[in-house]
Amino acid sequence: MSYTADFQGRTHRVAVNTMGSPAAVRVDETTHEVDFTPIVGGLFSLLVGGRSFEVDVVEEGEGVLAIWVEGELHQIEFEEEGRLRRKAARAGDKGRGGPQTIVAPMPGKVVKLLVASGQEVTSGQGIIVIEAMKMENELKAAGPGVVKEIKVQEGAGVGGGEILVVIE
Amino acid sequence: MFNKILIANRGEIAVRVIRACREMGIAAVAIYSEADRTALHVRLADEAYLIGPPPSAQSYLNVDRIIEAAKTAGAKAIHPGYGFLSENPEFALRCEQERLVFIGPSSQAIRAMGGKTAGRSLAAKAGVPVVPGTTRELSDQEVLQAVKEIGLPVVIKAIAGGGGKGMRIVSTEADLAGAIRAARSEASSSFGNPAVYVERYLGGARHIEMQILADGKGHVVYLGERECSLQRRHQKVVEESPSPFVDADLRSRMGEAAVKLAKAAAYTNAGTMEFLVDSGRNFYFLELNARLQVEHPVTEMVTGLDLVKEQIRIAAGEPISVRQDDIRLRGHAIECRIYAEDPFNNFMPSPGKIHTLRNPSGPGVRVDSGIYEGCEVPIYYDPIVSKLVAWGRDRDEAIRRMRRALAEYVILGVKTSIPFHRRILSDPQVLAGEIHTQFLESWLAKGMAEAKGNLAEIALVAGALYLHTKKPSGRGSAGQGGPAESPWKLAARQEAVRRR
Repeated sequence: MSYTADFQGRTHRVAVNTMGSPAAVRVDETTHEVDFTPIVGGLFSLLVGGRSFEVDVVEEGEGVLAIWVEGELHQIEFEEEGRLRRKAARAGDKGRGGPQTIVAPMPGKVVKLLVASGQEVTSGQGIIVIEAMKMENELKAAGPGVVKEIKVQEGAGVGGGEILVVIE
Repeated sequence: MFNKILIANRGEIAVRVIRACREMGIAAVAIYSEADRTALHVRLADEAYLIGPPPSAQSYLNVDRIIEAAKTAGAKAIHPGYGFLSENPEFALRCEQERLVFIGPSSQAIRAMGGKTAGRSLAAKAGVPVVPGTTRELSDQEVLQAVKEIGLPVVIKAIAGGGGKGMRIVSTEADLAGAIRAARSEASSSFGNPAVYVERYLGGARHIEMQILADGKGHVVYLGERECSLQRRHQKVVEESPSPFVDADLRSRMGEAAVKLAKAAAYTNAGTMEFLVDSGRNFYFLELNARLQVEHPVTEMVTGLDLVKEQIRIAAGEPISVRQDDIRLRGHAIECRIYAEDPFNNFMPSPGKIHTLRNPSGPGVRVDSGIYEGCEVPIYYDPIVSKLVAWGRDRDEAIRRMRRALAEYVILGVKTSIPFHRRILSDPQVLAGEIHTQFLESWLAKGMAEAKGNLAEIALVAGALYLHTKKPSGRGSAGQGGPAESPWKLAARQEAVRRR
């Protein structure tokens, strides 16, 4: 079975050619012989051409895996080849230049608004500073746009998931 | 000696104090908020009392409820840990009035050293060098005047400041008015006090601090320094002892200055004098931390002392267990603060349930942790989850051990700063010990390196095999069910039975 795997802005092709022990797995142009043995929960022991790795796999969403190897976290989006591309479908939903919302990631307090209504913002620009867990955090615009609506005031308490700012 | 101590704190530091109590045969009393019923410190304590709803102001800062819990439990002393009420002179005073021993300095000593300008004046009087600047609160006009005398760049600081809040560095005159306004407003909202003063800004300096112990019998010793220059937003990230920059001569000069200052302030218990050290090995007193520090384990690892036990002994009226001549620094220790935050997303706090936890171990590794597999990291408190400490014969071995331990450490369910630490401890300048207080900020501004290609390849292989072998029914959550009974509690109970 073949997958496309998006990781850090690059798309890889990963194919599981034979199962069993060892399995043959091709990543892009390289084929690995892999012994993949479950230990407990999401923990697996991998022997890759004699090299041993401990790997933790957590499923964060459909096909979205958080994979922990030797102190590094890899967030990878897998997709079975031949299936309808989720990403393409989603991009269609969103549409280009659609509204984006800045959402409070957790309950906290609005420390500072960095933009005004009607202001043009660029991708990555700081929009609002909220305080949670004793720390101030700047929430940023995911893409360029114009601030359409500011739903909170400085000093206000906000709940987790609450929409703070709408950018169009 | 006390037979029971209440610990007015939570998380890893409460667990740390419980450990010292247990080794001394003292019963440990925990307090907890409604968010912390299942927290590790509650599980490990001998007794535990609910003190209020989750927000700190109604629980871990609630003086009345904490005093009440101490009386209900029959505890004779209170250990405040760090943060929360640890440096609050009113709390120390209240303990004194209620005939509870506050395990820390007296309320007068906290007050004498508490405000930043009070500490500066006392240091100057004791002949300890301070960063050039003013020693009292200033009006806006006086700030402008002071800047003319001191010269730019300067730093405007809140008198009641801490944790980098109410602090602004100014390098051009044009920015001055705005910086004063910003510092005052931040100080006002964070500490309820808009008072500011001015210091010369020492660019490229190191933050090096000296640990002291002082008993009520006139003995004051210094336990060597900690290098804490690796900071982000004025918060320490990695600490080590000894400092790669401090030689024996500088160590004894700084140590003697710290002792002199502690004596001048009639200071007792454990304390830390923070200094800025410039490239010419001149040192300037910054402030005194009148409590146990987060980073105290690195001093414990190189001195072999248990600082919490020393604190408890001193509070009970006993002398410090060592003299200055007995103190030798052996090897090198380094600490990484592990936070529940996402280093790849602007260090956003990452509360939630920890569904997988595997602690590192092996030679020279110590984990001071407040978490367990299946626990929640609540949204209400500081996101520190543990401190990973490595000891080696020298700095190189300590760093290699730390990197090895970081690779063994698995915390899943929340994002953590583990990958951040791995990158810091691979940087050539950090390895060479060439660091200063702005180093990490400029290092971060360059952007963090991505994971090495080799590990990404393994992750891709594992992910594909995982999906390939996955049962269509889906996987349950990773809850394994922890051990039914804490082995510590069993041991303590057996001990209690033996004592009877």
